[in-house]
Amino acid sequence: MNDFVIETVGLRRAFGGHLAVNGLDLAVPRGSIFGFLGRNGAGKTTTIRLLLGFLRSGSGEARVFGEPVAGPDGNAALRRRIGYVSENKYMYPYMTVGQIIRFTRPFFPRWHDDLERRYLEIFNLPLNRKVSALSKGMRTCLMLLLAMSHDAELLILDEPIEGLDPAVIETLLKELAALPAAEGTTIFFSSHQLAEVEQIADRIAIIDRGRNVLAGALDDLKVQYQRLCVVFEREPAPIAWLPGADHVRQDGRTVSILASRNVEAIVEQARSLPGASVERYPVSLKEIFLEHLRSN
Amino acid sequence: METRWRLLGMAMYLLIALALSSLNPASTNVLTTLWFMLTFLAISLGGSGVRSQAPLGFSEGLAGSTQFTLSLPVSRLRLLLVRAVAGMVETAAATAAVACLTWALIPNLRQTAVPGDFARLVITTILYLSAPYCAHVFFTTWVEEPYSMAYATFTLILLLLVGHRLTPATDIVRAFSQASPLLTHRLPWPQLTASVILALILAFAAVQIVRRREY
Amino acid sequence: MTFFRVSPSSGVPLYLQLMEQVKHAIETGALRPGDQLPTIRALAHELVMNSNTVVRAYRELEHEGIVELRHGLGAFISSSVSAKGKVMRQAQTIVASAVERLRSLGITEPEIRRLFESEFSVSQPESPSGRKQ
Repeated sequence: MNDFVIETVGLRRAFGGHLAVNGLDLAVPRGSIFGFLGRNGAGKTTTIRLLLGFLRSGSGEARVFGEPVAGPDGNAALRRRIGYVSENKYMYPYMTVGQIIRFTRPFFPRWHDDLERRYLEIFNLPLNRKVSALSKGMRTCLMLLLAMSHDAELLILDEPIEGLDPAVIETLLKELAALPAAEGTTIFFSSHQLAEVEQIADRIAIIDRGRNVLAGALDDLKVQYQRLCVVFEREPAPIAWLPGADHVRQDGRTVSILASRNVEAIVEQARSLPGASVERYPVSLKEIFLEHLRSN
Repeated sequence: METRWRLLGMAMYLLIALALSSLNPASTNVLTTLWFMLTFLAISLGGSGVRSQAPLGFSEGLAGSTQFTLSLPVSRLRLLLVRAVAGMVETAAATAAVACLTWALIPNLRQTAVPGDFARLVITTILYLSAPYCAHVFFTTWVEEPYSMAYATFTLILLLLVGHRLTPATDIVRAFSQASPLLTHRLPWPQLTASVILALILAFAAVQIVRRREY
Repeated sequence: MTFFRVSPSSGVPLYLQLMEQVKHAIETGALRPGDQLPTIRALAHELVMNSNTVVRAYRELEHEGIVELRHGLGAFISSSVSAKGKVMRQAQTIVASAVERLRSLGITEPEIRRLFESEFSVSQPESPSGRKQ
């Protein structure tokens, strides 16, 4: 029985006539690294704001650690178990790195000084520099330090990779990837950088126009999706492909199919056609992502 | 901290005003000038007090550090209260400092007023200042910074006028004129109560807004 | 220590890539029966991967009899693998000569690949991944 750290059912929230979140179903299992993907403006940050109680939820259910999300000014105790990196990565500009750490530390009884020192070092954060003098990338690292130093059960990271240089990304991914196994931490993060998501996420959900269009274990999806390239000896008549052949393009004697399910049956169907030879290719997350946005 | 610069600026301004006024032997002019300036200071601090230490103000929203603050495991009530109290303490300290300076620099005052009365005047001033301070705190919760100060000043003037018209008890300005401790040798309790009640109402309203607001 | 490399954007599930790498290392002799594989934590750290992925790869390898997971000690290449190693080298020779013969018939490389492809469609493999280019 898998318990879910974050769960939403039919979550809905409007902003002045526009449904920012429109019937969102999410289920984030404990100990998973969950990638939350979507276009700009698809509703990722709104969802996160709803989960953290920055916004009142419209309708539908939302639960964090099994407790219903209370909305504005509720659940302070819940937030003690969560580490958060905001979308804009702003903190108090007049404080130095050291001051902000000293300011944040007392709020969290399970703060680990050794983790704090470690992250200071691997993220290369200068203690005496003011936050206003930090680049966006360094502010992100600082927020990550604050989020990851207090033994949080759940990390909610809004675009944590944006603005980081490749070396820092590598460092960050290593740290994040190790957390679930070492501490049982669940990591829920939104990102546009699909390559990084592919590297460490074990589950993903794609959100478009406020609702999820795809969700599941990343490994399963990669097996489920395949690209088929069918080459005919002569240009074929139109073919009624089996369900699962989602994106079919034809160029003369070559037909390219992006199959989202039922692959073996479609391959059989292709092979049974006269004069056809079939090649199969794996599909990257980027292709899956683009395909779902295209068809939505 | 941001407030230090504001305080310093105010202090310089006040010192200059004091210096200029000390040339004029009439002590009441000085006090009136000071009264206006301290009011302005309190309003100003009401904004920065909340803003610089815990930006729960409207102008921050998504663009500022509000999201960071709100993610901390404390209730919004506590966040607002702690900052508001800190700002009020700064206001009180500034007032006390200004008072000492005034006492030191204006011989006329020392000659005409009893120290105990002057102390009472200082207390009166501090308690009165809670009202303009809370007025600005209230406005920062839903209006952007420069405008919130204007609204706060305007509202304060309005409330003072209304108070003046209603009854002597609510006429806060009276606390510095006819009911001034310098004259009555007492604290003007009715007016002080009115000030504090006004401040509390504004503070309460600010809390209610912050608790329900979306960020 | 053998040097594994995985490619996250290739579309092939990472755990499968890792399994292939281990199998390949056995085939080339880089890993021998009884050799210890890196710990899950170390490998995840080295390759910057989710630990769960490494766990899954090791478990699948154990399921296929290629790896033994000894509780508290780690993962080891199982001794039964050696027989397969020899067979694999034989198989490599067979394939090499078949390809040579096909080439001498004037059949190009892509054509040869497709021939092997279609050969496998007849007898479906059990592994969930299917064949990949």
